[in-house]
Amino acid sequence: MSQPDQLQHPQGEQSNKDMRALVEREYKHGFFTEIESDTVPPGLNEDVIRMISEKKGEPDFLLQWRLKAYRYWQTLKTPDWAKLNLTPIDYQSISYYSAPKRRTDGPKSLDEVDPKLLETYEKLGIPLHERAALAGVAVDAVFDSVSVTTTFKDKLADAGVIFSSFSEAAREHPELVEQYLGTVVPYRDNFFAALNSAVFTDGSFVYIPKGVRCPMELSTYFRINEAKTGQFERTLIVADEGSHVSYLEGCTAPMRDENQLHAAVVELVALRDAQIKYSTVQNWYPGDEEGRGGIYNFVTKRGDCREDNAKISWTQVEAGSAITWKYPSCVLRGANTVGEFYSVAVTNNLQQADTGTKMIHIGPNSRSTIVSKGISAGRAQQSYRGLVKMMPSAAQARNYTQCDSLLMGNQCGAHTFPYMEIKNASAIVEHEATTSKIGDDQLFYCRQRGLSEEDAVNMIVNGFCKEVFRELPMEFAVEAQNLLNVSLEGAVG
Amino acid sequence: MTSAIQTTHAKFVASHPAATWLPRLRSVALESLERHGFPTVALEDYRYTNLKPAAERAIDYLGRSEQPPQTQPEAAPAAAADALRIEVVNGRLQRLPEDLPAGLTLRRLSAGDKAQHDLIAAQINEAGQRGAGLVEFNAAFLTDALQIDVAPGVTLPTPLYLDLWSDGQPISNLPRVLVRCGDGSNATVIEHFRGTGAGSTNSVTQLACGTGAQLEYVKLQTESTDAHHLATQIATLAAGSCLNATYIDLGSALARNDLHCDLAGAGASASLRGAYLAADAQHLDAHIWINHRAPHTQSRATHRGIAKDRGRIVFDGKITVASGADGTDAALQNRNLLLNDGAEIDTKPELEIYADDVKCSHGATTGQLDPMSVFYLRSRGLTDVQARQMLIGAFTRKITGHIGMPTLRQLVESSIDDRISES
Amino acid sequence: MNRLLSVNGLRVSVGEAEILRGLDLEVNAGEVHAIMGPNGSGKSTLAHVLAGRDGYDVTAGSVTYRGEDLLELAPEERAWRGLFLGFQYPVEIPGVNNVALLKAALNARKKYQGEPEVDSIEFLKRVREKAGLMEMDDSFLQRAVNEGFSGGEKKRNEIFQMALLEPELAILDETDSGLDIDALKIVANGVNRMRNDQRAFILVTHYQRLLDYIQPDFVHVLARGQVVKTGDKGLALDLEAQGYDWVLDKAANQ
Repeated sequence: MSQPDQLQHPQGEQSNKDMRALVEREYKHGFFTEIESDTVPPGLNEDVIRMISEKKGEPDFLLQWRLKAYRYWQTLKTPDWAKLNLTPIDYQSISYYSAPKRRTDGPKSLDEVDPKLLETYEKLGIPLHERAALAGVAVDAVFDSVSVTTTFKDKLADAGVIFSSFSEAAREHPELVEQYLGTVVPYRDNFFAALNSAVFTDGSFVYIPKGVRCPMELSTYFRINEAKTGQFERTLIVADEGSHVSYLEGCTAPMRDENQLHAAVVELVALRDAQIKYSTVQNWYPGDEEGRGGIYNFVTKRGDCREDNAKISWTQVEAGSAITWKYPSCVLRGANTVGEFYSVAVTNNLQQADTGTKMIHIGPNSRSTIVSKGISAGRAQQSYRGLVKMMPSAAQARNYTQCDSLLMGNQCGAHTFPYMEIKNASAIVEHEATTSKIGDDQLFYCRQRGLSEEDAVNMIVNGFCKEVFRELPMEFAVEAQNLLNVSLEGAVG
Repeated sequence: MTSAIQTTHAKFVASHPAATWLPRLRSVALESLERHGFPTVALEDYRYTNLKPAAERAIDYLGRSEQPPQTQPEAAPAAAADALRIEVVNGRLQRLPEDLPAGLTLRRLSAGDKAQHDLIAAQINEAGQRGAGLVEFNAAFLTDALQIDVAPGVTLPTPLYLDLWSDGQPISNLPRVLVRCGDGSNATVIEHFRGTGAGSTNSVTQLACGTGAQLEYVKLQTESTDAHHLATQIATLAAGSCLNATYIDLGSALARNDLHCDLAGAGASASLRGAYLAADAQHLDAHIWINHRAPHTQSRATHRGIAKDRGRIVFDGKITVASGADGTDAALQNRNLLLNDGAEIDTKPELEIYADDVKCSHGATTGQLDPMSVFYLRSRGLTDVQARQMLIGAFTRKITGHIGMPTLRQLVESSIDDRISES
Repeated sequence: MNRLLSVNGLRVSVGEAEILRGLDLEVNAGEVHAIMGPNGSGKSTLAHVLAGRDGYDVTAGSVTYRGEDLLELAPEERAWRGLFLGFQYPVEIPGVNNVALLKAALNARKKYQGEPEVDSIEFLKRVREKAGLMEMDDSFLQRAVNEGFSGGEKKRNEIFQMALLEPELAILDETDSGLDIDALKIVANGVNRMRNDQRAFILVTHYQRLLDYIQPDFVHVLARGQVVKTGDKGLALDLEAQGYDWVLDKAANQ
């Protein structure tokens, strides 16, 4: 995430000077924190899973669920249909649990948290002391396999909102976890979802009670630190009837030559009249210019508009990772439900991204909007892959999809694979896609007005992405723009 | 299935002896077919269309002994009167017309000398590398092929009308047509597939346009609604050449058409259109793959589908721009009408782009007839049914309006209107 | 006399075709020059070459702008030095806010001049003032650059940008084309208001109509890549009455 002082600027007021400074900057989150950690040896078997569950003091139902997932996962083969080129992953060479060592069972307050950890988040621009923290944003900080701390818990508790690490929720609110876990993304869903279900270590849990408008933005910050570990977090957000919540997710990792695996699952449940807005700024280490290292980011994100009038909105800015494989989706089950997907994906150098969404319309009068903006530079390959499905019950359902790709340089690729399956005769589906490069005439126009070529490119690219950026919470919009400029560094020429 | 193919093939070869080189062509294709097998729904390109019933019928028919046609072909459509008509009955090429315009040569594989065979065989072998089983299947059971050569610089005064009629006897129709348009030539080729009964067709048409050649190609498919119709066209366009193709699919229980269009030379352009009407329980699948392999190539594709009753329309249109094909300008549009619950439309426009100086777009919509338009027509005195029929017809006119030959356009439009009103 | 621009023997080709064939032009501060000529005479090429657009090969001649070799400079460097091109076809840039572009442009120039950037309040004040003169309302300013603007709105936006950026040399490429009479008057007033002894204008136009509202000091007739005749305002009227042929014939006979 970003420096707090940058967050003070209102959207669009970023000066050129700042922009130039940012363009000249490299991946700035690539440092490693020297901290003694409790890391299990690499390898995966049922004992490792039992050990993870035991370390976290989980109820038995959760252990049994993990084991079922593990047994199922063993029957699966790695999917190969996405348009990706990757070295096969050796699942036995990954360590499935790594946590910073601590003296007691867990920090009772921030004073007990290792100062090195606090410093790490400080450096990442996420101060965890509440007095220094971003006003109006509660943060759950996840470091490798565990949650370090969650800020503003008391203030949220006053409103009845539960916001905690997943492990804590499994201990404190097992009935809620048991009721909703795996109901949106079952462990049989896909290869990586099954793996995650077996070995997930931490993540965030959110429950917004009936009629409550969450008083602040909720945010989780994921950090991979240890080498040879994978991060398998699991996030579950339940918005009860008539409630509202906006949730942000950010992620970074140190620069390393080997690839690291991140296989997360996010489940959202929106009940009658509830609204969930989920925003991601993904900035995992993308690897170097030659494609060495970087995170393999294989994520299953799905929201279930389970009852009438529910709304789920996904906004993502995908700038990092060597490989991204991610399709935040909506199951529009209730009547009049709304699903949205706004995405900016940037790939440079040898990055590969295969991302998009699925909108499954089941309820009558359900509506969905998809806006996807892809920017491909260097030797990167990027694909939009999406499915819009109108089930026979989805009378009067509507979908509108707009997918645009911008190419920078003649060695990259941009691909669009939309699937539309329509089984209802009153449904309307519209899809449009374009692919082009930045127009020479646009560049010349901006330069004639006095902008440097680089500033002109940044301005045009940000304009290209504007429909998505304006869906981001204000605090993140400027950061997202900056991230875009950094990611495209060296792409003009 | 594999062993069934082998057995059938052995029996077929025994009953269809041919010149010494043909067995080799057949066996190469058979080997390739056995390696890939028939395409199944597990393949991405066939996820919406299960060809198993069509494959089973074709193999079943090949295993039977062939009978002469039981019925006389229906009278040729009036449009054929304005054209040079070439008759194909139950997949068998009939006597070729003799009075040919200058610059046009027709040859058949089953006649002629070794050199001619080699020429045709080379083209067939080349195409064999492309298909996902269907092209090989056609070659493995080949008995004949038609080569149409248009000499360089020649503009044919009349269109060629291939009238492919089937009477539904248990015969596997495997037409193979090779069209070669010489540099700077100009021709119109029509393939009209029609017939009665439970026919089985798997045709392959190769279209090669030389430098600056212009080819108009029209494929009209009005087979019986019990027929299975599979067809592949492989088009290769040299520099500055132009293909103008129109597809009309109204018949068959199951129809699948694959067009591979290679824009291989700089400045080549393709203009592709299609109209499809799936009623009753028809399943019509159109796949087009436009491959921009050279700079400054242009393509336009416009396809319109209509699904009613329990009909199903599948459309897959892929534009690929190869690295180095700078200045490519490609646009694809797919519009569909889904007229009642129970029908289904599956559409998948794709862009795969490896060059940056391009302008590519695609769009797809699925919806219904505009209620305001229906109301407008009714306010002018039409019944609801009349209004809808008129609007459905109008929806397809954007496609048929581009057919250059007036009598053919009339034939196509009246066939569409008939199909709309009878279904 | 304050010489702003000297074009000497300029020859420019696009691909195989030579468009400008030895063009000469001198522009001093305070002057308004009209460049007229039939279609294809090279008017827009001249405007683009002066602004630094790619795709033109300068094969001979020189262009000096305030003592510097203009042809050596990047387009933005020309802009920083006070050269403005009003586009014949202003470009649409989706998602980029009109005002944001202007602020970036103005501050880029301030930075070059070593002046402090204008603060937001001062900037908005100026924007409102200039927009008011061009009869543009706020919604117009908040829209993306030229996106969805009508032809007339785009041209007014060009003049508005010029007013805000206060260039020393403004080249207006067929700014009058596609304008109705009311819009033409607004545009002309915008230009007239900016006329002073520090600033010069080059009006590239096909028709005399614009010159009814903006009085030029010089009228040049461009044909086949050269200035074939120079005169005063009267020349434009003659061209209006008699067409271009008599000038071209006369030039050909020389």
